[in-house]
Amino acid sequence: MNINTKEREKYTIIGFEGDVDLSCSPEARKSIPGVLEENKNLLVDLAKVSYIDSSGIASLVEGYQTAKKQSLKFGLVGVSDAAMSVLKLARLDRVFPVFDALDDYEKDSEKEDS
Amino acid sequence: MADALVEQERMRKELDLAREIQLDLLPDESDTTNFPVKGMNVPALEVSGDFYDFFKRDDGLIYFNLADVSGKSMNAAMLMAKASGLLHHLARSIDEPGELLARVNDEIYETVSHGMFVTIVSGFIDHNNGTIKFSNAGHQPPLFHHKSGEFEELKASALPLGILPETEFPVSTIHLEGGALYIFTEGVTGSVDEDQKLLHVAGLIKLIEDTCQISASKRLQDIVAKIRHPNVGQRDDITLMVNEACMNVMQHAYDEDEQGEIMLNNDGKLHFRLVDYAKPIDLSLVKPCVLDDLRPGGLGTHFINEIMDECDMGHLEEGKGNYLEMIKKIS
Repeated sequence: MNINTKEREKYTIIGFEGDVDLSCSPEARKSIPGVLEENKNLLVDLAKVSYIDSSGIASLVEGYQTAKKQSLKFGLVGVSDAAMSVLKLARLDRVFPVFDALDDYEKDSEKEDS
Repeated sequence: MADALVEQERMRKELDLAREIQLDLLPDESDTTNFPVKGMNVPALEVSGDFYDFFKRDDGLIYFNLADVSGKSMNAAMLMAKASGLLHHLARSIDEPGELLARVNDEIYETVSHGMFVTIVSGFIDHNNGTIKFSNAGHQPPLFHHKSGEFEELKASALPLGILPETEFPVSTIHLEGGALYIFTEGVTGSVDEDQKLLHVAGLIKLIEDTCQISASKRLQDIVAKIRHPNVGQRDDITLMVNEACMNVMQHAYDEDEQGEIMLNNDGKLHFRLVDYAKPIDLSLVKPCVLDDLRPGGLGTHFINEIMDECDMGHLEEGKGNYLEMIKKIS
Protein backbone atom coordinates (compact mmCIF):
# COMPACT_ATOMS: atom_id res chain seq x y z
CA MET A 1 0.00 0.00 0.00
CA ASN A 2 1.19 3.54 -0.84
CA ILE A 3 0.12 6.82 0.68
CA ASN A 4 0.75 10.15 -1.01
CA THR A 5 -0.22 13.59 0.19
CA LYS A 6 -0.85 16.70 -1.91
CA GLU A 7 -1.31 20.12 -0.41
CA ARG A 8 -3.77 22.57 -1.96
CA GLU A 9 -4.62 26.07 -0.79
CA LYS A 10 -7.87 25.19 0.94
CA TYR A 11 -7.52 21.46 1.45
CA THR A 12 -5.19 18.48 1.51
CA ILE A 13 -5.58 15.30 -0.52
CA ILE A 14 -4.41 11.97 0.83
CA GLY A 15 -4.26 9.26 -1.81
CA PHE A 16 -4.33 5.59 -0.84
CA GLU A 17 -3.16 3.01 -3.36
CA GLY A 18 -3.33 -0.79 -3.34
CA ASP A 19 -4.59 -2.94 -0.47
CA VAL A 20 -5.66 -0.90 2.57
CA ASP A 21 -5.63 -3.70 5.11
CA LEU A 22 -4.80 -4.48 8.70
CA SER A 23 -1.03 -4.51 8.25
CA CYS A 24 -0.86 -0.94 6.94
CA SER A 25 -3.88 0.74 8.48
CA PRO A 26 -1.98 2.20 11.46
CA GLU A 27 -0.02 4.25 8.95
CA ALA A 28 -3.19 5.26 7.14
CA ARG A 29 -4.84 6.02 10.44
CA LYS A 30 -2.05 8.39 11.44
CA SER A 31 -2.05 10.23 8.11
CA ILE A 32 -5.68 11.34 8.37
CA PRO A 33 -5.61 12.83 11.91
CA GLY A 34 -2.29 14.47 11.00
CA VAL A 35 -3.99 16.65 8.39
CA LEU A 36 -7.00 17.43 10.55
CA GLU A 37 -4.76 18.50 13.44
CA GLU A 38 -3.47 21.22 11.14
CA ASN A 39 -7.07 22.41 10.79
CA LYS A 40 -7.21 21.68 7.09
CA ASN A 41 -10.08 20.32 5.03
CA LEU A 42 -9.35 16.77 3.85
CA LEU A 43 -10.12 14.75 0.79
CA VAL A 44 -9.20 11.08 0.64
CA ASP A 45 -8.53 9.77 -2.86
CA LEU A 46 -9.54 6.10 -3.15
CA ALA A 47 -9.30 5.81 -6.96
CA LYS A 48 -6.41 3.33 -6.84
CA VAL A 49 -7.59 1.23 -3.90
CA SER A 50 -7.83 -2.45 -4.83
CA TYR A 51 -9.04 -3.68 -1.42
CA ILE A 52 -10.04 -2.04 1.85
CA ASP A 53 -10.76 -3.88 5.07
CA SER A 54 -12.83 -2.78 8.04
CA SER A 55 -9.89 -1.19 9.86
CA GLY A 56 -9.22 0.90 6.75
CA ILE A 57 -12.87 1.95 6.75
CA ALA A 58 -12.54 2.74 10.47
CA SER A 59 -9.74 5.20 9.71
CA LEU A 60 -12.10 6.97 7.26
CA VAL A 61 -14.88 7.00 9.85
CA GLU A 62 -12.49 8.46 12.41
CA GLY A 63 -11.51 11.18 9.94
CA TYR A 64 -15.15 11.96 9.20
CA GLN A 65 -16.05 12.15 12.89
CA THR A 66 -13.04 14.31 13.80
CA ALA A 67 -13.62 16.70 10.88
CA LYS A 68 -17.25 17.10 11.86
CA LYS A 69 -16.33 17.98 15.46
CA GLN A 70 -13.81 20.55 14.20
CA SER A 71 -16.20 21.92 11.52
CA LEU A 72 -13.79 20.90 8.78
CA LYS A 73 -14.72 19.38 5.44
CA PHE A 74 -14.05 15.68 4.86
CA GLY A 75 -14.79 13.86 1.64
CA LEU A 76 -13.88 10.92 -0.56
CA VAL A 77 -12.91 11.37 -4.16
CA GLY A 78 -12.71 8.99 -7.13
CA VAL A 79 -13.74 5.94 -5.10
CA SER A 80 -12.71 2.71 -6.88
CA ASP A 81 -15.31 0.00 -7.49
CA ALA A 82 -13.63 -2.24 -4.91
CA ALA A 83 -13.79 0.43 -2.20
CA MET A 84 -17.30 1.54 -3.19
CA SER A 85 -18.70 -1.98 -2.89
CA VAL A 86 -17.48 -2.13 0.74
CA LEU A 87 -18.88 1.35 1.49
CA LYS A 88 -22.23 0.46 -0.07
CA LEU A 89 -22.48 -2.80 1.83
CA ALA A 90 -22.31 -0.88 5.11
CA ARG A 91 -24.41 1.98 3.66
CA LEU A 92 -21.49 4.32 4.37
CA ASP A 93 -21.72 5.78 0.85
CA ARG A 94 -24.63 7.78 2.30
CA VAL A 95 -22.54 9.12 5.19
CA PHE A 96 -19.34 10.29 3.52
CA PRO A 97 -19.54 13.08 0.97
CA VAL A 98 -18.36 11.30 -2.20
CA PHE A 99 -17.07 13.19 -5.26
CA ASP A 100 -16.31 11.69 -8.65
CA ALA A 101 -13.40 14.06 -9.26
CA LEU A 102 -11.60 16.98 -7.64
CA ASP A 103 -13.46 19.40 -9.94
CA ASP A 104 -16.76 18.28 -8.41
CA TYR A 105 -15.46 18.95 -4.92
CA GLU A 106 -14.20 22.41 -5.87
CA LYS A 107 -17.50 23.37 -7.53
CA ASP A 108 -19.35 22.11 -4.48
CA SER A 109 -17.09 24.12 -2.14
CA GLU A 110 -17.49 27.27 -4.23
CA LYS A 111 -21.27 26.95 -3.97
CA GLU A 112 -21.06 26.59 -0.19
CA ASP A 113 -18.62 29.48 0.17
CA SER A 114 -20.63 31.88 -1.97
CA MET B 1 17.14 -11.99 23.87
CA ALA B 2 15.93 -13.98 26.89
CA ASP B 3 13.92 -10.98 28.09
CA ALA B 4 12.30 -10.67 24.69
CA LEU B 5 11.31 -14.35 24.76
CA VAL B 6 9.87 -14.02 28.27
CA GLU B 7 7.90 -10.96 27.15
CA GLN B 8 6.68 -12.79 24.05
CA GLU B 9 5.53 -15.71 26.18
CA ARG B 10 3.74 -13.36 28.59
CA MET B 11 1.92 -11.70 25.67
CA ARG B 12 0.94 -15.08 24.26
CA LYS B 13 -0.51 -16.14 27.62
CA GLU B 14 -2.47 -12.91 27.87
CA LEU B 15 -3.87 -13.37 24.38
CA ASP B 16 -4.82 -16.97 25.22
CA LEU B 17 -6.63 -15.70 28.30
CA ALA B 18 -8.39 -12.99 26.27
CA ARG B 19 -9.50 -15.61 23.76
CA GLU B 20 -10.79 -17.81 26.58
CA ILE B 21 -12.85 -14.92 27.96
CA GLN B 22 -14.16 -14.20 24.46
CA LEU B 23 -15.25 -17.79 24.01
CA ASP B 24 -17.14 -17.55 27.29
CA LEU B 25 -19.11 -14.64 25.82
CA LEU B 26 -20.38 -16.82 22.97
CA PRO B 27 -23.47 -18.95 23.68
CA ASP B 28 -22.87 -22.30 25.37
CA GLU B 29 -24.27 -24.58 22.67
CA SER B 30 -24.49 -27.57 25.00
CA ASP B 31 -27.36 -25.70 26.72
CA THR B 32 -29.14 -25.06 23.47
CA THR B 33 -29.15 -28.37 21.62
CA ASN B 34 -32.84 -28.01 20.80
CA PHE B 35 -32.54 -24.42 19.66
CA PRO B 36 -33.48 -23.49 16.10
CA VAL B 37 -30.30 -21.40 15.98
CA LYS B 38 -26.72 -22.63 15.54
CA GLY B 39 -23.53 -20.61 15.28
CA MET B 40 -19.78 -21.04 14.77
CA ASN B 41 -16.80 -18.70 15.13
CA VAL B 42 -13.22 -19.25 13.92
CA PRO B 43 -10.88 -16.34 14.73
CA ALA B 44 -8.17 -15.29 12.26
CA LEU B 45 -5.86 -14.28 15.11
CA GLU B 46 -5.82 -15.15 18.81
CA VAL B 47 -8.69 -12.81 19.52
CA SER B 48 -11.69 -12.05 17.36
CA GLY B 49 -13.73 -9.01 16.44
CA ASP B 50 -16.70 -11.18 15.46
CA PHE B 51 -19.36 -12.32 17.87
CA TYR B 52 -22.75 -13.93 17.93
CA ASP B 53 -25.31 -14.62 20.61
CA PHE B 54 -28.70 -16.22 21.05
CA PHE B 55 -30.86 -17.04 24.04
CA LYS B 56 -34.48 -17.64 24.96
CA ARG B 57 -36.21 -14.87 26.86
CA ASP B 58 -38.69 -15.49 29.66
CA ASP B 59 -41.58 -14.70 27.28
CA GLY B 60 -40.41 -17.39 24.83
CA LEU B 61 -38.96 -15.07 22.17
CA ILE B 62 -35.48 -16.06 21.03
CA TYR B 63 -33.04 -13.19 20.75
CA PHE B 64 -30.11 -13.54 18.29
CA ASN B 65 -27.34 -11.42 16.86
CA LEU B 66 -24.22 -11.81 14.74
CA ALA B 67 -21.76 -8.95 14.47
CA ASP B 68 -18.37 -7.90 13.15
CA VAL B 69 -16.27 -5.24 14.87
CA SER B 70 -13.95 -3.23 12.59
CA GLY B 71 -10.36 -4.48 12.82
CA LYS B 72 -9.11 -7.75 14.24
CA SER B 73 -6.79 -6.79 17.06
CA MET B 74 -7.18 -6.42 20.82
CA ASN B 75 -9.15 -3.17 20.61
CA ALA B 76 -11.67 -4.91 18.31
CA ALA B 77 -11.92 -7.71 20.87
CA MET B 78 -12.57 -5.22 23.67
CA LEU B 79 -15.31 -3.44 21.72
CA MET B 80 -16.74 -6.88 20.93
CA ALA B 81 -16.95 -7.61 24.68
CA LYS B 82 -18.69 -4.30 25.34
CA ALA B 83 -21.17 -4.55 22.47
CA SER B 84 -22.10 -8.18 23.14
CA GLY B 85 -22.58 -7.45 26.85
CA LEU B 86 -24.83 -4.47 26.19
CA LEU B 87 -26.93 -6.40 23.68
CA HIS B 88 -27.25 -9.46 25.88
CA HIS B 89 -28.43 -7.34 28.79
CA LEU B 90 -30.78 -4.97 26.94
CA ALA B 91 -32.36 -7.71 24.77
CA ARG B 92 -33.92 -9.20 27.91
CA SER B 93 -36.13 -6.15 28.39
CA ILE B 94 -36.43 -4.63 24.88
CA ASP B 95 -38.21 -6.70 22.22
CA GLU B 96 -38.16 -4.19 19.37
CA PRO B 97 -35.03 -4.73 17.23
CA GLY B 98 -34.81 -1.10 16.04
CA GLU B 99 -35.06 0.33 19.54
CA LEU B 100 -32.49 -2.14 20.85
CA LEU B 101 -29.89 -1.18 18.25
CA ALA B 102 -30.61 2.54 18.70
CA ARG B 103 -29.84 2.24 22.42
CA VAL B 104 -26.63 0.28 21.85
CA ASN B 105 -25.57 2.60 19.00
CA ASP B 106 -25.81 5.70 21.18
CA GLU B 107 -23.81 4.03 23.94
CA ILE B 108 -21.07 2.87 21.57
CA TYR B 109 -20.93 6.20 19.71
CA GLU B 110 -20.34 8.07 22.97
CA THR B 111 -17.50 5.87 24.16
CA VAL B 112 -15.70 4.40 21.18
CA SER B 113 -12.68 6.00 19.53
CA HIS B 114 -10.50 5.60 16.41
CA GLY B 115 -13.56 5.39 14.16
CA MET B 116 -14.31 1.84 15.27
CA PHE B 117 -17.75 0.51 14.45
CA VAL B 118 -19.85 -2.63 14.61
CA THR B 119 -21.84 -4.14 11.74
CA ILE B 120 -24.63 -6.33 13.05
CA VAL B 121 -27.76 -8.30 12.31
CA SER B 122 -29.89 -8.48 15.43
CA GLY B 123 -33.44 -9.63 16.02
CA PHE B 124 -36.03 -11.88 17.62
CA ILE B 125 -37.51 -15.20 16.55
CA ASP B 126 -41.13 -15.82 17.47
CA HIS B 127 -41.35 -19.59 17.58
CA ASN B 128 -45.17 -19.55 17.72
CA ASN B 129 -45.66 -18.06 14.28
CA GLY B 130 -42.25 -18.75 12.70
CA THR B 131 -41.41 -15.08 12.14
CA ILE B 132 -38.13 -13.27 12.52
CA LYS B 133 -38.02 -9.51 13.16
CA PHE B 134 -34.58 -8.05 12.68
CA SER B 135 -32.50 -5.00 11.81
CA ASN B 136 -29.40 -5.08 9.62
CA ALA B 137 -26.98 -2.31 10.61
CA GLY B 138 -24.39 -2.12 7.83
CA HIS B 139 -23.75 -5.86 7.90
CA GLN B 140 -23.11 -8.18 4.98
CA PRO B 141 -26.57 -9.22 3.73
CA PRO B 142 -27.82 -12.44 5.36
CA LEU B 143 -29.12 -15.12 3.02
CA PHE B 144 -32.71 -16.31 3.38
CA HIS B 145 -33.01 -19.77 1.87
CA HIS B 146 -36.71 -20.04 1.05
CA LYS B 147 -38.45 -23.39 1.22
CA SER B 148 -38.82 -23.17 -2.58
CA GLY B 149 -35.03 -23.30 -2.83
CA GLU B 150 -34.59 -19.62 -3.78
CA PHE B 151 -32.05 -17.45 -1.99
CA GLU B 152 -32.80 -13.86 -0.99
CA GLU B 153 -30.19 -11.33 0.16
CA LEU B 154 -31.42 -9.16 3.04
CA LYS B 155 -29.47 -5.95 2.57
CA ALA B 156 -28.58 -3.48 5.31
CA SER B 157 -31.17 -0.83 6.04
CA ALA B 158 -29.07 1.24 8.47
CA LEU B 159 -25.52 2.31 9.25
CA PRO B 160 -23.21 0.25 11.43
CA LEU B 161 -23.26 0.97 15.18
CA GLY B 162 -20.95 3.70 16.46
CA ILE B 163 -20.83 5.98 13.41
CA LEU B 164 -23.58 8.55 13.96
CA PRO B 165 -25.69 9.30 17.05
CA GLU B 166 -29.48 9.01 17.02
CA THR B 167 -29.49 6.70 14.01
CA GLU B 168 -32.72 4.93 13.07
CA PHE B 169 -32.69 1.18 12.53
CA PRO B 170 -35.60 0.04 10.33
CA VAL B 171 -37.01 -3.40 11.14
CA SER B 172 -37.75 -6.14 8.60
CA THR B 173 -39.91 -9.20 9.16
CA ILE B 174 -39.54 -12.55 7.45
CA HIS B 175 -41.70 -15.64 7.72
CA LEU B 176 -39.51 -18.71 7.84
CA GLU B 177 -42.18 -21.17 6.61
CA GLY B 178 -39.71 -24.02 6.39
CA GLY B 179 -36.86 -21.86 5.12
CA ALA B 180 -33.61 -21.02 6.87
CA LEU B 181 -31.77 -17.76 7.51
CA TYR B 182 -27.97 -17.70 7.21
CA ILE B 183 -26.06 -14.81 8.79
CA PHE B 184 -22.29 -14.57 8.36
CA THR B 185 -19.30 -12.26 8.43
CA GLU B 186 -17.15 -11.24 5.48
CA GLY B 187 -14.61 -13.82 6.65
CA VAL B 188 -16.92 -16.44 5.12
CA THR B 189 -17.47 -14.93 1.67
CA GLY B 190 -13.88 -13.62 1.63
CA SER B 191 -12.47 -17.12 2.13
CA VAL B 192 -11.05 -19.28 -0.60
CA ASP B 193 -12.36 -22.68 -1.59
CA GLU B 194 -10.33 -25.82 -2.20
CA ASP B 195 -9.24 -24.46 -5.61
CA GLN B 196 -7.97 -21.22 -4.00
CA LYS B 197 -10.84 -19.27 -5.53
CA LEU B 198 -12.60 -16.56 -3.54
CA LEU B 199 -15.87 -17.97 -2.29
CA HIS B 200 -18.10 -14.89 -2.69
CA VAL B 201 -21.82 -15.18 -1.93
CA ALA B 202 -22.37 -17.50 -4.92
CA GLY B 203 -19.90 -20.01 -3.45
CA LEU B 204 -21.61 -19.94 -0.07
CA ILE B 205 -24.99 -20.52 -1.74
CA LYS B 206 -23.56 -23.58 -3.47
CA LEU B 207 -22.23 -24.93 -0.16
CA ILE B 208 -25.62 -24.39 1.49
CA GLU B 209 -27.39 -26.15 -1.37
CA ASP B 210 -25.00 -29.08 -1.08
CA THR B 211 -25.56 -29.46 2.66
CA CYS B 212 -29.13 -28.30 3.30
CA GLN B 213 -30.42 -31.83 3.92
CA ILE B 214 -28.25 -32.45 6.97
CA SER B 215 -28.67 -31.18 10.52
CA ALA B 216 -27.86 -27.51 11.18
CA SER B 217 -24.84 -28.19 13.44
CA LYS B 218 -23.29 -30.64 11.00
CA ARG B 219 -24.07 -28.29 8.11
CA LEU B 220 -22.16 -25.43 9.76
CA GLN B 221 -19.20 -27.70 10.46
CA ASP B 222 -19.17 -28.99 6.88
CA ILE B 223 -19.35 -25.49 5.38
CA VAL B 224 -16.62 -24.07 7.62
CA ALA B 225 -14.41 -27.11 6.97
CA LYS B 226 -14.67 -26.53 3.22
CA ILE B 227 -13.78 -22.85 3.30
CA ARG B 228 -10.68 -23.14 5.48
CA HIS B 229 -8.17 -24.59 3.14
CA PRO B 230 -5.10 -25.68 5.12
CA ASN B 231 -2.60 -24.17 2.66
CA VAL B 232 -3.98 -20.68 2.92
CA GLY B 233 -3.73 -18.32 5.87
CA GLN B 234 -7.09 -17.18 7.16
CA ARG B 235 -7.50 -13.49 6.33
CA ASP B 236 -10.49 -12.66 8.49
CA ASP B 237 -12.54 -14.10 11.33
CA ILE B 238 -15.14 -16.58 10.16
CA THR B 239 -18.56 -16.56 11.82
CA LEU B 240 -21.62 -18.26 10.47
CA MET B 241 -25.07 -18.74 11.98
CA VAL B 242 -28.21 -20.51 10.82
CA ASN B 243 -31.76 -19.91 12.07
CA GLU B 244 -34.45 -22.47 11.39
CA ALA B 245 -37.88 -22.52 12.97
CA CYS B 246 -39.00 -26.05 12.15
CA MET B 247 -37.52 -28.76 14.28
CA ASN B 248 -39.76 -31.75 13.64
CA VAL B 249 -39.73 -34.70 11.33
CA MET B 250 -41.59 -32.73 8.65
CA GLN B 251 -38.91 -30.08 8.41
CA HIS B 252 -37.73 -31.29 5.04
CA ALA B 253 -41.22 -31.17 3.54
CA TYR B 254 -40.78 -27.71 2.14
CA ASP B 255 -43.87 -27.62 -0.04
CA GLU B 256 -47.33 -26.43 0.88
CA ASP B 257 -48.90 -29.63 -0.39
CA GLU B 258 -47.61 -31.85 2.36
CA GLN B 259 -50.14 -34.56 3.26
CA GLY B 260 -50.67 -36.84 6.17
CA GLU B 261 -53.02 -39.79 6.36
CA ILE B 262 -53.86 -41.96 9.31
CA MET B 263 -55.87 -45.07 8.55
CA LEU B 264 -57.26 -47.60 10.98
CA ASN B 265 -57.67 -50.81 9.04
CA ASN B 266 -59.63 -53.80 10.25
CA ASP B 267 -56.42 -55.68 10.71
CA GLY B 268 -55.96 -53.88 14.06
CA LYS B 269 -53.03 -51.82 12.86
CA LEU B 270 -52.63 -48.05 12.70
CA HIS B 271 -51.20 -47.01 9.34
CA PHE B 272 -49.52 -43.60 9.09
CA ARG B 273 -48.46 -42.27 5.72
CA LEU B 274 -46.73 -38.88 5.50
CA VAL B 275 -46.08 -37.48 2.05
CA ASP B 276 -44.27 -34.34 0.98
CA TYR B 277 -43.48 -32.89 -2.42
CA ALA B 278 -40.10 -31.41 -1.55
CA LYS B 279 -36.76 -32.40 -3.07
CA PRO B 280 -36.05 -36.11 -2.59
CA ILE B 281 -34.04 -36.53 0.58
CA ASP B 282 -30.83 -38.53 0.76
CA LEU B 283 -32.09 -41.70 2.44
CA SER B 284 -28.61 -42.69 3.56
CA LEU B 285 -28.59 -39.63 5.84
CA VAL B 286 -31.76 -40.65 7.68
CA LYS B 287 -30.61 -42.92 10.43
CA PRO B 288 -31.09 -43.08 14.17
CA CYS B 289 -28.47 -41.41 16.30
CA VAL B 290 -26.46 -43.23 18.94
CA LEU B 291 -28.13 -42.40 22.23
CA ASP B 292 -24.79 -41.81 23.94
CA ASP B 293 -24.28 -38.90 21.55
CA LEU B 294 -27.53 -37.00 21.92
CA ARG B 295 -28.14 -34.42 19.24
CA PRO B 296 -31.43 -33.30 17.69
CA GLY B 297 -30.80 -34.87 14.27
CA GLY B 298 -31.56 -38.58 14.23
CA LEU B 299 -33.40 -38.71 17.53
CA GLY B 300 -36.81 -38.64 15.78
CA THR B 301 -35.76 -41.62 13.68
CA HIS B 302 -34.71 -43.44 16.83
CA PHE B 303 -38.12 -42.84 18.47
CA ILE B 304 -39.99 -43.94 15.35
CA ASN B 305 -38.03 -47.19 15.28
CA GLU B 306 -38.68 -47.75 18.99
CA ILE B 307 -42.41 -46.98 18.96
CA MET B 308 -43.57 -48.27 15.59
CA ASP B 309 -43.74 -51.88 14.57
CA GLU B 310 -42.95 -51.23 10.93
CA CYS B 311 -41.40 -48.25 9.23
CA ASP B 312 -40.57 -47.55 5.61
CA MET B 313 -39.51 -44.45 3.77
CA GLY B 314 -38.62 -43.65 0.20
CA HIS B 315 -38.99 -41.38 -2.79
CA LEU B 316 -42.19 -40.75 -4.74
CA GLU B 317 -42.13 -41.51 -8.46
CA GLU B 318 -39.97 -39.31 -10.69
CA GLY B 319 -38.40 -37.54 -7.76
CA LYS B 320 -41.60 -35.70 -6.85
CA GLY B 321 -41.16 -35.99 -3.10
CA ASN B 322 -40.83 -38.38 -0.18
CA TYR B 323 -43.03 -40.67 1.85
CA LEU B 324 -42.79 -42.07 5.34
CA GLU B 325 -45.00 -45.04 6.25
CA MET B 326 -45.34 -46.28 9.79
CA ILE B 327 -47.46 -49.10 11.19
CA LYS B 328 -48.35 -49.64 14.84
CA LYS B 329 -50.17 -52.75 16.03
CA ILE B 330 -52.87 -51.79 18.51
CA SER B 331 -54.42 -55.15 19.25
